[in-house]
Amino acid sequence: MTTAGNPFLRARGLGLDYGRFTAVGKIDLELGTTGLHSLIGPNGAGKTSFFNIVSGRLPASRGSLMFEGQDITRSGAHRRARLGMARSFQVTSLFGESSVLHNLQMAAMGVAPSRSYRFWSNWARETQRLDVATEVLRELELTRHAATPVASLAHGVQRVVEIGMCLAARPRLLLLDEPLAGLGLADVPRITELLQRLKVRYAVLLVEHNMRVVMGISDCITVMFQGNVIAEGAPAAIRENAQVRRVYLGSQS
Amino acid sequence: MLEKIKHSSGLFCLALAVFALAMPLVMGSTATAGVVLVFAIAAAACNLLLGYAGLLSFAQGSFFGVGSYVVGIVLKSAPGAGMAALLVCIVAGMVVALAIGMLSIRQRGIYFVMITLAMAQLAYFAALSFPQLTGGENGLLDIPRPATGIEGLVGEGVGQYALIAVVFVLAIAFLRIVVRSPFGRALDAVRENEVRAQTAGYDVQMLKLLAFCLSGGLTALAGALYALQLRSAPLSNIDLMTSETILIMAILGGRRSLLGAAFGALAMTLMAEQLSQWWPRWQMIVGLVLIAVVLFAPRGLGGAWAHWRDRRSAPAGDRA
Amino acid sequence: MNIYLFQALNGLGVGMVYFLLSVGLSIIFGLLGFVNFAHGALFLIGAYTAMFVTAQTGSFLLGLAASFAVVAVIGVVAERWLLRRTYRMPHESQILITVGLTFILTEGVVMIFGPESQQVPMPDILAGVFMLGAYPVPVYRIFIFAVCAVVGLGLWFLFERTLFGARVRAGNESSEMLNLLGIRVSRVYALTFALGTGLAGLAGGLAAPLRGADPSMGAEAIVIAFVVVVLGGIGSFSGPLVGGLIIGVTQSMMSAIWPEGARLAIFIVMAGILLVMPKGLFGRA
Repeated sequence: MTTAGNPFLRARGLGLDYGRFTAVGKIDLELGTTGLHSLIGPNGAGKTSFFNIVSGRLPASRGSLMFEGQDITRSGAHRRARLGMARSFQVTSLFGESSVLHNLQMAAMGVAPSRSYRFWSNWARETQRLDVATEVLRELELTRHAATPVASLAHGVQRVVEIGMCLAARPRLLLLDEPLAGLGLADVPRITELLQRLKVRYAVLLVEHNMRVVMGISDCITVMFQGNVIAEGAPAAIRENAQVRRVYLGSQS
Repeated sequence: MLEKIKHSSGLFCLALAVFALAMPLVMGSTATAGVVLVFAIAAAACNLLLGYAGLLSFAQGSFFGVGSYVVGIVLKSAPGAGMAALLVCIVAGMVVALAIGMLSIRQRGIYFVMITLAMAQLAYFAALSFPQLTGGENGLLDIPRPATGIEGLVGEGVGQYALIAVVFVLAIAFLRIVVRSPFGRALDAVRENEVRAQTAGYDVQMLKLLAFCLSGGLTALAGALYALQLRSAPLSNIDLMTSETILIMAILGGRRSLLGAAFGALAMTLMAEQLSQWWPRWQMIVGLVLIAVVLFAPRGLGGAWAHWRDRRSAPAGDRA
Repeated sequence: MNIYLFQALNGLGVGMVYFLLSVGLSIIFGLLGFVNFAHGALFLIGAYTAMFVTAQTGSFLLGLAASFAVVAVIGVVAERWLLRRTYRMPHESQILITVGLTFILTEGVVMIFGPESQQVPMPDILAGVFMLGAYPVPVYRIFIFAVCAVVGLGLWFLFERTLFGARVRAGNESSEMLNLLGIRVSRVYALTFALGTGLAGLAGGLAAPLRGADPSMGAEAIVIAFVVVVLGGIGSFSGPLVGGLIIGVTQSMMSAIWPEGARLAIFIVMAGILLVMPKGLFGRA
């Protein structure tokens, strides 16, 4: 689960308050350089809030966050992206008017900061990001959708593109917020299989509600409840954990 | 044909040149034609902010006015400066844009708009409060025009117009390069989905600030040329009405259309010149036109035309 | 009591007018998410209406009532026929449409009343001064203060204690929810719009005897309204109050210290406060 010494990502006492409401209490979490770590918990547990402070969308109210030994607690979201953290959204958030290829190119360019300021050079002439985007298309089997505006894609395909945006940034850590959200049964295996492939190459922090998938593919599971961690461990252990069952399912089960 | 112009830089510059050459004929004099070109530059610079970065700025008049004042101050104290004075104005515009931008850009959405409005008023009252620099209510008068070198051949009026025309073509061609650059695409991303852009690694604040500075510099250049045209820098160049006029021109022509900005400037200038003679309350018509454009032709006159043409030909492919 | 304190008190009166002007803008934005750039033009219309009705009927009170009522009607009509189409549009489009509306309204006023500024006579009973120690305090200022205080209290009561107010505050959070609860959202919107715009008209009516009525009032007013709302924080009620008072006091005090820079000072203060508190004094995110 974690590598000894210098974990890839380390959260210590990380928390978030909205005014007087504590969404996230004090979370400790560690990730290794590869593997899939899932974050589960009933609604309102604070999973997405935690995600938001890890990805930098919101500033943490307390605690520290280290990424590859660097303290990124105060870094903005864009800086974390450039350091190798890529995040997907629970509600699909893409550049709707543009094609899939264009979306992926924009994601590829985002992590090459100096490129985005070059107001004198010609977009069409730069091919690096085009190469990256084409490769991601191929990897995700989206090539036939390359020119389609994302807004007109089926929901299931959009969710794949959402993950593609992360991959195009050539990240080291993937933060995936409910990638299976809203998917029909037919689409779930495709994404699940993708996640299996990804966890071998990347560190993946996953928030999901689909317990079967979570139990099936996670290397480690953290269970959150009302802003705090109540259990952490391998899927088998979590499945047996009485407190987890009580919190999720009530006391019968 | 407009599609072809959109895709070919050569044709685009040709269209600009034709526009500049035709203006004196359309408007009847090089003086009013010069006004159209000057405001075309300002409107196109506004397009960069509104249509690409997604920023509605009421501060454009501040940059315009600063350009006017600076060119006046420079040329009155150092008439030999000539064209270099224009460069100073661009820098001045960028500096003011940086200052205003640093305060406003940390705000999003409607807050941003309101602050640019307030900053515009700040600039106006600052201009009023320091008459030693700006001439106060009267503005700066008797600004000497720099020699363009061709006055001997064609007379001063045409010589001055030639200067404005050349700057017009260069400025709008420059803007075209900017909007088709990686920076331009990054601005589009920020406008379309700021959260996604930020998450993907784009420093949204910096990008907006840079766009603001580029726009400010070019708008100041336009203001400088206008002051040279009038031989004076009146207070009205920095007031709110100027900001509103520039915005309306940008919208009439189409938020994203640089060539459209030129037509928007033409349309507004014609309305101001012609309508005002016929009906002193002509601005009411401007109001109606503005409402109509926003409600029914949000891509402006240029956009509506392009849209109609697009629908008659094959569906458009990827923007890259 | 020295001159500055006196000016500060004076500024409170000005500030109350600014509050009245801005609270409508803040309410409309808070509930409808709608940016009403035409708010300044409504202030203008209020001033001219008060002038006209007072001249016709001899009653200033009637003129004030008319300034509220007429502008409220214009507001409702505009909302119903024009502005309602723009709720789904981005804020930029709303602003641009209301800029267009401003042109139409302002030019309309000039068409009817002419472009010159006009004096608006103050009613005799309010035209005197009240001696506060050695300083003459114009009775009219006290009148303004009183009217604004009453309106302010009325608004507070309306929003905090009545069913209508609860609906407006709920709609502030989620208009969809309001709809689902079976409440006629369009009616809440129309009434809120009437209230918000009417207040701007009333502010104009109150301001008219002080500065006369002239076509440029609208442009000045909208900027002040925006400054106050940004300073105080959008969507709040106390925001425009405190913001208005700060701006009013700043303006008054500066006009004693540095008359030419009095207007400039307002914006410098605003810029200063925003540097430190980007969301305004009472702003909600």
